[in-house]
Amino acid sequence: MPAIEVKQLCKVFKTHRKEAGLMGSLKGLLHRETVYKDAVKSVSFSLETGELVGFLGPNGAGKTTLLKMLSGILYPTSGSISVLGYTPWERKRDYQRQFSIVMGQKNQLWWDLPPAESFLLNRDIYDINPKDFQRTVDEMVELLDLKALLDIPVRQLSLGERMKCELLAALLHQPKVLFLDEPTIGLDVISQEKVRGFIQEYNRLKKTTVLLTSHYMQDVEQLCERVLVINHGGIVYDGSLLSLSERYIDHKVLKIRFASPQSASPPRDLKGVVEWDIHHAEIKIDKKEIAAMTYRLLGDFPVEDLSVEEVEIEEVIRRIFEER
Amino acid sequence: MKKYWTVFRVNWQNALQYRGPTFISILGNLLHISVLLYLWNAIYRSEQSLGDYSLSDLMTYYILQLMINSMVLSYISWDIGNEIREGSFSNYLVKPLNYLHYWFTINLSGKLFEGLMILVVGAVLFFVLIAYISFPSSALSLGYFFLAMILGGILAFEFDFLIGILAFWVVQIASFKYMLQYSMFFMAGALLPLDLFPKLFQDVANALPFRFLVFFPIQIFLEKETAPLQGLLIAVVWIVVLYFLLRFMLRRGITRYEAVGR
Repeated sequence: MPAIEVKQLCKVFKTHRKEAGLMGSLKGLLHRETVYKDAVKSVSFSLETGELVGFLGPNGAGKTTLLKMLSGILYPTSGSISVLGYTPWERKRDYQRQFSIVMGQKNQLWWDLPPAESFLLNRDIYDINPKDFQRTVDEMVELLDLKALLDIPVRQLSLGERMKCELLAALLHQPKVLFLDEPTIGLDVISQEKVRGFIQEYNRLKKTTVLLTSHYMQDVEQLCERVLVINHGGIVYDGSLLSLSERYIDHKVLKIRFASPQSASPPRDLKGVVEWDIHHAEIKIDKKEIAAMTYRLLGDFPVEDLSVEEVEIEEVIRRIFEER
Repeated sequence: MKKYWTVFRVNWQNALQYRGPTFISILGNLLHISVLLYLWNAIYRSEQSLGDYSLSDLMTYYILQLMINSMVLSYISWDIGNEIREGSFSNYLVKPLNYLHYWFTINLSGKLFEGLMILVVGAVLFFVLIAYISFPSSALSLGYFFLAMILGGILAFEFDFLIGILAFWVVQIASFKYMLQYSMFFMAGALLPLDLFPKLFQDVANALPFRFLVFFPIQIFLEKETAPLQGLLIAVVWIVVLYFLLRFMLRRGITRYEAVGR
């Protein structure tokens, strides 16, 4: 039996359109125009136990809405979800004890208290026996390198430190299913790396089923063998990341800063120029030609700085979407 | 049960972090009450008594009001409203935790903490004003008084919780909240004893449950309440009625929240 099974899931939000300004507000009192927005449209997928799957998609694609339905914060307009055999929005206590959701932008830790207090609170909310609790805390503190932080009020922690504590708090009851909504949002590169490493390690050790959303390609690249790409509420790709990037990302972006001003227009035979002025150039290059192209540019121009960048995830998704 | 005890304890820790601000708000209240006491002192220089109140009755009224404000009246709607508006309410929906019981515990722990702090202020005040205070003549009245405070505290919680969960339906509850809270406290007798008002107003206030928050317990203390037991019973009925209303509203609110999300 799959750990998560989603069938034909739809969510329609009903909102009221309000015109701007005071007159708009007054009009709104008399007559409100109802607007229906399809946040999630007929989504189906399933996850096996122990899988680590990434949800990719631009803002407003429906990722968070999906996670919220999976954790029982929202109920769907139609369709069904089964997680560990439970229907999330019934909010059975047994289900709640077996999953966890971490939302990068919403914290559950007590702001003015050291994280250790919030951990104790979760221990008793989830009825974790003190021995298991201590063992889990020790283990995680080790994995996350948190030892020095447990007694410092949360408000004094950095965002990265706080995120690690949030993760620990969410994992105390050893959930079988874990939803992570942008766990690395706003973190610096090092913290991102640590959080990512931790998620990977945790999934490997505990065989926890993990579903995560992120804007960052690196998150997904490092963590997930399988990705679900979602846009405008529907799943547009379900498969391995490798074939996704092979299929859709055939190029990288080469950025150059010239050491001295160059001619204002690029050489005629140079393909894929995105931007070109006397100081800078940005060129799209086929992955296979990176070495050759770099070699040529270094020979032809006085290059002060050069970088090869991955295509951003938003663009990958845009491409996928453009294709449909 | 154990989880709520931990909630209680953790909130107590949290309150400790805020002992300074709490103390200052108590002092602010004290200032407010002192002004009223001076005012009444001035009025009583020309009047012998006002309604049924001697000067010492009124002094007692306001000193008890100070205590009740800290130990009975509830100020949680602001936090509840924010949790719902900002979406951190979701944190409770995914945990094996009852939101109503959770907030009841938070409120209780906060009120007991403030109660402890008011004891310090109260003790000072007590020795300064001991000559002015009218004490009840029997231990029974004192017992009824404390019982009335407990019931008043539960009712106050229920009302403020209700105001807080209005946030499910109204996006910004701030202005709403103040209006409701002030009218509630006014009708409770926090500003003036209710029986100094015209008869019609008194009848209205008597029919409403708000008097159980402030006026009713103090009336018992001053032994002006003719039927304390009957009053306590009515308070219990209100508590039960509100409890069911609250649960109903919370359920409706959550249904709404589940539909919209934050």
